Amino acid sequence: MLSRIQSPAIDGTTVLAALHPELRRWFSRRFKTLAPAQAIAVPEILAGRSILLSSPTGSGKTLAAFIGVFDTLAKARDRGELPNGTVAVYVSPLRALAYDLRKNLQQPLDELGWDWLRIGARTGDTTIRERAQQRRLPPHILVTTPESFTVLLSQSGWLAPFRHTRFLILDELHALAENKRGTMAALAAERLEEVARPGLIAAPSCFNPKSDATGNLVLATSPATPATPVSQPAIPDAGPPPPAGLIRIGLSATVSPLETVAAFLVGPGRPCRIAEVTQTKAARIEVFSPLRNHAYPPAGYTASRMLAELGTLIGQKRTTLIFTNTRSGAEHIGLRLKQVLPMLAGQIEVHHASLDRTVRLEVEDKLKRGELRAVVCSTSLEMGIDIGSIDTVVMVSAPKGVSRALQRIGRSGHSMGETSHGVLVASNINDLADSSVPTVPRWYANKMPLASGLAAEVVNLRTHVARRLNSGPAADATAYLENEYGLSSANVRALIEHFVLQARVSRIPTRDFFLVERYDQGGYLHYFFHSLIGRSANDALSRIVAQRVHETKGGNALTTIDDYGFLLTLKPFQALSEPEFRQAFARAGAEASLREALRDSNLVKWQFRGVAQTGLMVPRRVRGEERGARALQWSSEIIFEVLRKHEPDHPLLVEAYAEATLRFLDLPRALEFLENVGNQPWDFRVTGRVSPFSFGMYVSRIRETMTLEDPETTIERLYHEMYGSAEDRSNPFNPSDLSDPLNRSDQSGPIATPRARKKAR
Amino acid sequence: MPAPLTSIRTAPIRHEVQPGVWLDSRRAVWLATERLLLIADLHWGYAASHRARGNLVPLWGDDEIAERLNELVTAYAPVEMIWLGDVVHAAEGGAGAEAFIREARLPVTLIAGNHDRHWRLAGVRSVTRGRFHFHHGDTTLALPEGTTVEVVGHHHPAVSWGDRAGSRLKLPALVASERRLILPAFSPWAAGTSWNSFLDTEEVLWAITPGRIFALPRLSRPNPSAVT
Repeated sequence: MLSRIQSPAIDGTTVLAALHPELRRWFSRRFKTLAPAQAIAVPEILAGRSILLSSPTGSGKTLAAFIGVFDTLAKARDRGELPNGTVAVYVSPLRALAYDLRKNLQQPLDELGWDWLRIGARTGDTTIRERAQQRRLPPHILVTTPESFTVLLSQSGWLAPFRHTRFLILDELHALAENKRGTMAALAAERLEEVARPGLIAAPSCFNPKSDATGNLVLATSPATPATPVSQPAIPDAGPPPPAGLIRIGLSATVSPLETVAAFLVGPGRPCRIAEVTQTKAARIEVFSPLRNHAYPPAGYTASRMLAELGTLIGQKRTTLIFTNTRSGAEHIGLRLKQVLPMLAGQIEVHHASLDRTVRLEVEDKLKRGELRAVVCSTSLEMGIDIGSIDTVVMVSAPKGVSRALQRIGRSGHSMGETSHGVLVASNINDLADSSVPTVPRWYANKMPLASGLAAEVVNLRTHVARRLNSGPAADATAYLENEYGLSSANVRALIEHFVLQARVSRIPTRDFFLVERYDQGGYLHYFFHSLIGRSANDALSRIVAQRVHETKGGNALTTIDDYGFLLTLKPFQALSEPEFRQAFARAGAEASLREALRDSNLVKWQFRGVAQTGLMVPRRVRGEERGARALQWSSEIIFEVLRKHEPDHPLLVEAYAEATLRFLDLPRALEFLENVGNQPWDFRVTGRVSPFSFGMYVSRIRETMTLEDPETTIERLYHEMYGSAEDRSNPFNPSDLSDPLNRSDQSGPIATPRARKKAR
Repeated sequence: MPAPLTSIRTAPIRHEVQPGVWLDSRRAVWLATERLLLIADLHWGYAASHRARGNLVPLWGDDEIAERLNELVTAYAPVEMIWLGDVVHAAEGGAGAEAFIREARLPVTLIAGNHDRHWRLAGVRSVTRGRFHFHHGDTTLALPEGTTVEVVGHHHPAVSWGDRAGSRLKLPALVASERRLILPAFSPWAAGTSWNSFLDTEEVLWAITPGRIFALPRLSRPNPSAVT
């Protein structure tokens, strides 16, 4: 049902010849020939087949999807059969993308002079007036988001226009396929499939689907289209009528595995073609670190150095796009840049999803017109919005995952053939090691590696540097980093200093062994586990281990997770020997341990909050009024507790568990780690101070309380601890409880009493 | 967030915190000499009030309140029960309270709390029985002539308890001194306000757990945080 196509079924000249004459003339004038992505996809679409087209941004795939739509509409108009309905629905995960596309389609239509073809955008941003207009005069091409599309399908007034739909185009399919919005889009697609009567509009073109034994398309006759008889190519054979269903077209820049996404696109049991067009695009990626020579600069140094460097860069480049990992970060850097570059202040803008729609659109338009020198954004501009004039992309702090980094860098030099220029700014020493990794040329392949590939590459770097530092002079390691990663000598010096210090305090963790450090301080035991498997896998792993510590020693645990490992904070009575820890890392029964650990966890409760909102069990709005975050949290927590007690197998609870283990936690990778670590040598060290590689975990404020013990047991244990010991320190009553960083866990938050809530109102 | 919904079902216990003043683990206070049963912050109809405002929470809580009250009445056979305000959570949720009062076979004295403002049965501001002066506690009232102990609710006192290595608990509590009693909230929804650092010098904080009622020892100085 799913089949790959390697080369165009029909040569480009024949395809162009089959198009509506006006469309053909316009295309030839504008582009001369079909781009590779178009050459491979257009014949399939014209033949009425669903297709997943994976090709890089800027390769003409959007137009590839719409040529068939334009052709169908033009020919229908010639026949006097232009429907008063929506022939094509284009769904994009981004509102900005939908806006962008409407504008990009409008330009060809203006050039074609096709003022009879109506394009309408429908998103949360659409005004009431536009909505009313669309109801009166439905657009032939509807540009929308999964949410708005779903809403429209539930409105009786839209059923008539949707009966004419023949094409469903899903853009940025990789972004949709990975989450619930994708599920929403898939459900909406099935509803559209029910509503649509694709026979209402004739098959797109002269190609009828007919395959030879190898599954390749062959030319077949079409029913004569009276208005365009001259353009018909010589056609040998009349084929069967086209399939009755929708033609689904999935577009994606970076996606793997393609077969899974194709199956998602068309739904179960329907055929789909898969075309993958690869184009290598040169990229120049540099790593810049304000750290320069020193791994541990004084406070405030990094930020001002970084801003100064960014200012210089912006001054040299035409347009610079700066990505940060958070919206607040975007606002902050934007503001500071305007201060650093007062002359350019009017040409520096901020873009993120929290901004008002008009502001966002204005920034996008200015960017496209080349009026801006710099835009600081969060993830809002990450996907395929056409942002023409950008020549440099800067990422502040390492994007966690190579594919993300590359997609962002791919935003620069957007037209094919231009070179992408990316600058990764590493603001701390761990980021520097991280960022160094994507610069390796072999990573810049078209198919994106898994995010965990980054962790593997960091292990690799650590291993190589450690070997060189152990066996020879530091110069060997320096040369390795400079040559292999193309880092500046200043950055290399900072990295080497970091590594040497780690070797002095503890040992550099490599792939050859598992490093566990124990650091005792203030009546607590801090165990640092250097499992370099990424944050979500470490999250799963830490819960499994904490659960087993509880099973053997009792008590609860405090965990801190990191991309590079995790920290377990325990009380002295919970101290584990190396053999005991090895048992806590046993592969057997790990799934059961995690299940047990999650039973009373806040993680599942948080997941439930989202699930309950998506599942409409907790409404976001009541009587037209937006409910506050607090009310939403409160309702979902109560429902969660009641369901757990009275209906533990409720589908939304099951979903919350699934979300926790499969999306939030990376259990498969944690299990893989457990599988291997049993056969590895361990280095179990007691350190006199926190090692440099552990420092990030140690100072992290994101600690999680693992409540594993039965509360009544905790009461008895604490009670006896309290009265059994005269020592003030071990007194469990601690008024500074909530302000203590050790107790600051991300899920706690002050628990509101009715009185406190009333006060807050 | 509400308190965990696991209701206490082990055999109730009680402790004499002052001569004649008993704290029951069902979150009630028994004045043995006066034969008075004291209950604070019942918040009847908590779920119903929220549902009336569009927060679609399960109807839960009122049955548990009624059941616990009936058990206490049976156990102590008081001459009078005093509800120290915030009897209902909001006027919309008054049905359960009204039904209980209607069917009660003993006098139930209602004191008005800030939550009772729009409720048709909202009680009086304060009452006096012997040396005790009762009011809700949301305002400051001078002790009337002849009384020595102020008894209030309103604050939902609780004890925060943890070992800073993953164990954290919040337990309902009674604040007691010669001059004042602050009762724990009776509502099963109330999580409580951590009272550890609010204690006056002569006050004792009594923690209530299913199997144990105990006084929190006073700290001579605040514990320095272990890690910065």
